[in-house]
Amino acid sequence: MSPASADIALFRRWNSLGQTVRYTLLAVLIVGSMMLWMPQGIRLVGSGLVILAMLVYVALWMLTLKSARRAAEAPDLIARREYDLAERLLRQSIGGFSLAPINRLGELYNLAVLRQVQSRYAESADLTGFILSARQRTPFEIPARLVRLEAVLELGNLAAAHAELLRLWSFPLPVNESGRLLLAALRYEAAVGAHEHSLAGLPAKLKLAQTLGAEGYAKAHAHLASAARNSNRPDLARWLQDRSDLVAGTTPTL
Amino acid sequence: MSPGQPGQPSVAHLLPPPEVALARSRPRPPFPVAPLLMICLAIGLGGLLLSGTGDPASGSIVRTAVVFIPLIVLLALSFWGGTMARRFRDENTFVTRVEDSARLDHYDSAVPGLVPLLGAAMLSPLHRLRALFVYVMALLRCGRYEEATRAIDQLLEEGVTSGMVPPLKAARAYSLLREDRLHDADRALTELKRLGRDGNFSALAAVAEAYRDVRTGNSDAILEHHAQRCDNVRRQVGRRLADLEAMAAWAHLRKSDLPAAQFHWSRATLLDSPRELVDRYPELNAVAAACPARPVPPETLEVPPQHWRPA
Repeated sequence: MSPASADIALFRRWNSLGQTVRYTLLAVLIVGSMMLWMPQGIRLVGSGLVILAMLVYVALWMLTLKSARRAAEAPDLIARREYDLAERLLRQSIGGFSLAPINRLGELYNLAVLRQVQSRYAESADLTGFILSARQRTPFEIPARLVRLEAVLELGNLAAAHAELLRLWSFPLPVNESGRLLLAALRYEAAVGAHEHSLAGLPAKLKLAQTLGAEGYAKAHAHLASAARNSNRPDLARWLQDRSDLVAGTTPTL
Repeated sequence: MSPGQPGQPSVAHLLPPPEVALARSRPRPPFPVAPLLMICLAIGLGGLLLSGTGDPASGSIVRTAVVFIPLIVLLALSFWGGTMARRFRDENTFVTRVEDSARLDHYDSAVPGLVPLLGAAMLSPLHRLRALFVYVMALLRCGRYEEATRAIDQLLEEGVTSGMVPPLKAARAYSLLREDRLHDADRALTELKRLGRDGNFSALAAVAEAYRDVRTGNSDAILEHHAQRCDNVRRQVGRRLADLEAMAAWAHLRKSDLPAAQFHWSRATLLDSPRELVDRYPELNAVAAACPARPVPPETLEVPPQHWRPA
């Protein structure tokens, strides 16, 4: 069993426990409420059941919120490169009780991001694949697809990358996500030799590249320069490569 | 400044004064959901205890009330919560669109979106801060520096998230420099540098400091710190290298070193258009007139090249 499969199995186990507890509490609440219309002795038991169910429900929600608050620190920890701490936090959350399945999917998504920055791309692709196969529509769909796209590109799985690119192109994406998609698409097009396609809509791509950080800016321009060279447009290639070199810190040939 | 001036958004006149934007967009106090829920819970629990032990004659009314009153209140609250969540999501989408337009320098579409957003109380204080940040950038882009400084001062006084303080202070320093308030700008830069030491914002400080040196005519300082400032900027906001290169060209030109000025101006115009650079830093007009800009391949231009000439 791969480490990602173990994480997914753990997630599934705790998720089904959460679901069982949720439905049990609801059933107890309904049965207890119905018992309130019955004779005195049963009525007492009904009141007790309803009060107990309500108290357990509130206590479990408090536990869920506490766990969610703790897990919410993970993205910050990943950004600060404190990977061990983020891993410990996420493992505790995934292997713990929660009443909110959507939070748990978020924790799984954060684990996929962690695997990506740790260069464990196969695990990242497995985890995001699992998130995307979830029946419910989640707010993590677009970010998870982006992470999966980057992971499968790293793994050289061009067919999967093509499928993800097609899906992502159908979403109206904000600028941040569009910038990441641009970088991934340029990598994919370079890998399959679609150089002319890389240069299509160049002004808009250059504008989008400006919103990336310095590293992304340099990479996007280097990909475009390579596409221009392969399309036999040396002046454009030189201009793009000079931009990339200047921002990356290697001296451009001015 | 009149709308339609070269390099400025044609919708500049739509932007309200800072006092109006800040006051109207302030969120209303939150609806007291927690006390309502507590009251609901208390009624439910109290009723349950009464119905279990109380008088059998009044029991049936109490039982019905116990089950249905909290249920109706909870249903009403969940309906209200759903509506609020949808409005909250819509507001977030709208703010993101406005931010995206501003990031792509499309202020002509960002400002018309921003005006209705800031014209009424916003739901989330964080969305409001993001919208007001775009508002400040739009004011700067429109050359309304005095109003931009006022807006930033009020925002900082109201309190903003820690991540927003350095970019706002950098914008304030730039605005003060454009207003010719050099002493205040110098103080703002000192504060910004102090923040830069703690966080990762030295790039903003580097560009603002270089412009301070241009405003004070200190070309030696620009050249002395050029390499170090470029390293700072290169690590974070690569595109802003154009500003530093352009200011280095200005410093070389002041020292009558034309080849060096041309070299740096060529690097600056490789990353940004001379028109944009002169709009941001009018002092560079002399450099634009003296040094040829790096030619831009025609296929990289959205519209055919306009015949812009330095004044």
